[in-house]
Amino acid sequence: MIMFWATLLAVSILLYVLLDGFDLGVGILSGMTRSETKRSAMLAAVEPIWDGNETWLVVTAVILWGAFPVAYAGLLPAFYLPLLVMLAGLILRGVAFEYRSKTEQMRWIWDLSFAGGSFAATFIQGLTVGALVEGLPWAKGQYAGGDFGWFTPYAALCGIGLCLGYALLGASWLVKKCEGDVREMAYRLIPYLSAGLLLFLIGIFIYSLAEQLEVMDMWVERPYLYVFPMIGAMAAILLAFSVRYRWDEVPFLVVTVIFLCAFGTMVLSFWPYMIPFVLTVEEAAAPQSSLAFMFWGEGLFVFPLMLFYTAISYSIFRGKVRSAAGYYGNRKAAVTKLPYRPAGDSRH
Amino acid sequence: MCHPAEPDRSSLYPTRREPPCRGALPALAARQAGASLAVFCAIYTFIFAFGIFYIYRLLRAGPAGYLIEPPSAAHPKRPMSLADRPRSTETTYARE
Repeated sequence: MIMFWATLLAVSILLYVLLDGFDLGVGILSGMTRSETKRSAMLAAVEPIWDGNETWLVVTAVILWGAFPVAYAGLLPAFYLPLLVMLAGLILRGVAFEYRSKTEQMRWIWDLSFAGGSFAATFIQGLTVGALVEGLPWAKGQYAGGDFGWFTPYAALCGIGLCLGYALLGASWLVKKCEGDVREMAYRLIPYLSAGLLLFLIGIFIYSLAEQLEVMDMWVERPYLYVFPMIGAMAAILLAFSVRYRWDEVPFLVVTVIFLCAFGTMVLSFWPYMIPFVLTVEEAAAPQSSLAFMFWGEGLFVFPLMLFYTAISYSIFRGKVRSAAGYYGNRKAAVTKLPYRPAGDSRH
Repeated sequence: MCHPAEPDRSSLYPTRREPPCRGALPALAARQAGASLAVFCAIYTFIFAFGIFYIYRLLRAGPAGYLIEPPSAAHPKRPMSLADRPRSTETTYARE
């Protein structure tokens, strides 16, 4: 049962990173253009599915809280303030979708909220992973790093790296979903973002060696981990070809493979630890009876329902986005097309 | 503190650092909880202030376009229909 919940947790995190990753990336990229037409088209590419993507973060938190409460209890005090900033960013970018179509003069506030919220949420996610990889200070079985013990240069570097990664994922999504100027802009950005990500990976590798992080020992003990970077390198070559020959459907799939490799590398590097080198998956798990109780609700019903919902929503909104009006704009248009009915008129 | 009923699993830890407590309650400081309350109050005040402002603007502008314009080819289908009344009498519809 512990392995069942560990697998569900890994799948939830992976789906969150891939799905919300590209719409956070689109949010970051939206701050790089001054054209309202382009920005509207970018938002239209994620409007129908962004909120569904974020529910995977809720699923992740629920599984962590219910199935691995010891890890939850250990991590929350450590990352309370950064998670607060991340949630604030996610709230602001969510509201920006609704409000930006309600105003023209003050639209810049919501554009700034959307881009800034996306950047803040992404940076914090990368920073959290970086702090975990580097190792948090623990004493007497509890986090002992103070309010800002998680903020280190290594963690900040990981935050910037994830911003580059999500922006690359977002650019490949825009290539897949958009046409015209936005598609061309995304194609132009992909090489720069890929180069930035490569530089980040080299930098993080050198830093890890210099700091003699414990994770490097795992790479010596487990040479099969080198398979993932090799797959990632092949995927990067395919990405270069897909950009060169303008294969619209390929970049997103290839960048997804790169993220899968990075995620697989991280999970297998730290296995069996849930909090690296502090707490194993088995030690973090709730009692067997709690795990079995959760199975009948979350495991058997909610999780499959979420997968089904995600598949349906992506199936409905497949294909290119033809209009820059977007989901929220269309809804407004639909309201204005209501037939004229004076009060008290009961005609049908 | 660890709950006294929790089993001793210290021998299970193959770790190089001290494991965290088996207790499942996050040890949050009051200032952390206070900071989260202040941030959420600030954000939702910001959001609701704009939301109320946008609703006020919508109400003040009133209905427009298709909502108040009768179709150009419309004609009454019964003698007492109100469809062709001039626009100046629209505000009296609700009272009739």
